[in-house]
Amino acid sequence: MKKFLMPALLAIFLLWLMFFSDREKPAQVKTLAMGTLVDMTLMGLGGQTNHRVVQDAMTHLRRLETQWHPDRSAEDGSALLADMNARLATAETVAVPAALVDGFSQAAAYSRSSQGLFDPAVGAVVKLWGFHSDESFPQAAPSDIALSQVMPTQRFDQLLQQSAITGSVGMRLDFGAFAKGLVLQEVSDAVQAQYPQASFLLNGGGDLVAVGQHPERPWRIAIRHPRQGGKFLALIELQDGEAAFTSGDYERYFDITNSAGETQHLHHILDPRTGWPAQGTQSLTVLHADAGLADAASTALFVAGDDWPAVAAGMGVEAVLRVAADGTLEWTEAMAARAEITPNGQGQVLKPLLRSLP
Amino acid sequence: MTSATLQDRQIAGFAALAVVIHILEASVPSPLPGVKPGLANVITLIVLWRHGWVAAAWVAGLRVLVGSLLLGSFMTPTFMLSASGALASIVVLGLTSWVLGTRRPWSPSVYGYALLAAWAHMAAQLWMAWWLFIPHDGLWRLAPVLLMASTVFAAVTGWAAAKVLTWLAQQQERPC
Amino acid sequence: MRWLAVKPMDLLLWGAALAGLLALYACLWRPAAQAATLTVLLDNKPVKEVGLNQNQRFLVSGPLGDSELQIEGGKVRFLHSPCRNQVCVHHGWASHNGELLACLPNRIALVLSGDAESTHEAGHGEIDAINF
Repeated sequence: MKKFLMPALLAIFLLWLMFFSDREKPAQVKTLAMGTLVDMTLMGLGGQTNHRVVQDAMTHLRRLETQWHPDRSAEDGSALLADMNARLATAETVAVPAALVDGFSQAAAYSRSSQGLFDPAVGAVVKLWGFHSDESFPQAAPSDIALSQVMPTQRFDQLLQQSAITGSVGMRLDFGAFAKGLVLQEVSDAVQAQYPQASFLLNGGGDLVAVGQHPERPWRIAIRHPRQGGKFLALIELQDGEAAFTSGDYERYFDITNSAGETQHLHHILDPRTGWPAQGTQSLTVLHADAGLADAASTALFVAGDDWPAVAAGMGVEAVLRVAADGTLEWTEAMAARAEITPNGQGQVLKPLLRSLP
Repeated sequence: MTSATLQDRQIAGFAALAVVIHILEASVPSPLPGVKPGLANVITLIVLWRHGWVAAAWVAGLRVLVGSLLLGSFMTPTFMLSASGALASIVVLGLTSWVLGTRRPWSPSVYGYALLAAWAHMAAQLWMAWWLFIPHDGLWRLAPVLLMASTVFAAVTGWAAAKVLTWLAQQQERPC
Repeated sequence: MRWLAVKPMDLLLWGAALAGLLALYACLWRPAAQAATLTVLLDNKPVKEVGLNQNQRFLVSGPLGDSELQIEGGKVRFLHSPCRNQVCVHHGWASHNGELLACLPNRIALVLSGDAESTHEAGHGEIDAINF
């Protein structure tokens, strides 16, 4: 019998290897969600666990997406914000659902710190323009009269009192400039809490959250050039737990010719002060450890135009890169230490203008 | 007891030889690093023929273990690949010799066994490589090429094993 | 030494192996896949895979109708789309590994993989993602 020992041991060992060992290999999932293509690459937990965790993360993400969608109806009551909007529009006072309380208070804080340049209260304006839908899009700007009727009278942080909001006819809350960051951050936090040793890159249609370490080198990302599709503006190495969010005027937009014969580039980032697409910026990128803040700040700073450094200081973001309407590059000290500008078409590396925060 | 010791010594010698081939084979380039044609199957076949399946399993196991220790690849992907190849070929050899025997009219000869061992070796390594390391389906596109190489090497190992077995049989016919 | 001679079972085995090889070549062997490939996903399921080296235009049918894709010089873009917001068309060319390009209304997503246009600008090696 001794003779059988070695082959038997060998066989058992190899069978064990085949069926129970979980060799490391990154798992990737791409899915259409949050009005864009979401892509998550995760590693560090072993092949099968990696795969399961990304699948679970996407399920989590879809659940949060439904909660924060301003209009989607769900029969099981999971569309918390949409249900709330339906009641607010009939001037009811509605308590914020428990699952949204945290996000609402963060949004109120950003609304205050950005002095209303980020404001979820402008949901009805977004809807009037028609930028809220994945399916349809505006062909013309709304009339001034229609716009004046839906402009909110109070900023979001003024609306939110003791975790409740008093509605008014036609009111619609839209967290479009914040929900993606919030959802990516929540999904990322949930994965990190359960699997501290996981490394992953969560890409929500170009907005990124990086966690942990890429196995061979730092996470490396490129910022897209706002006017030269397929070209890069800058390269950045993301740190553990850092998010990169860019607001740009080059994707959701339409061009119209006004009565004076000029072409107007009307995009989806609306200035809450005027109800019109914000002018003065082509794209603006923010790096921050909190994806929700990075998302809200990239929108608010985009809207701020040339005055963005003051808003950045108010909101507590330091790393900012901006392409102004005339193509001028601007950045902060913190961004200059991180980003490397890529050569332009002529092979020159343009040095951005350094703007210091007040 | 004396014959058992002799057999043990012979098996140890064969295992050492198999280790040498295993190490030489490690330097053979392959389109999939770690996936090897299985030239050391020559020794497995010879031992199977002369000493039976249990001894052959010992030789295959020792070869993979000692070979990987000497190469420093123990428990690495390369080790997993060669171990899965060795395990698969020894299992296939065992099942076939159990069902068809080695010396019956309908038994395959060493040529047939060489082919079985080589295909089992390659198929297991490919599957292992796909399952553990490269889950990309493009990997299977390499299957025909790799299996063709295996078939060619099977002919070589079968031929070499037949030669050695013939020579060993002639040696034994001499009175001790 | 009769048991070392070639036997009927050997011929059977070798015949089967050669036939199997031929079948495998017929089924699996295609010319080496282009390093840079475009995978078209419809409703999150891959429906088409093409190399980025062949300049071509083709249609992908989604729920809204046909989206026309154009591949040229290693890049791909949505040329026409039945969707109303045209975000996919506005995105323009995509050529970098890991770049995402999608038309949500028509449920079409494009994934670039393999050695899509070298992202070695300024000698930086691979890029994990593009921020936009």
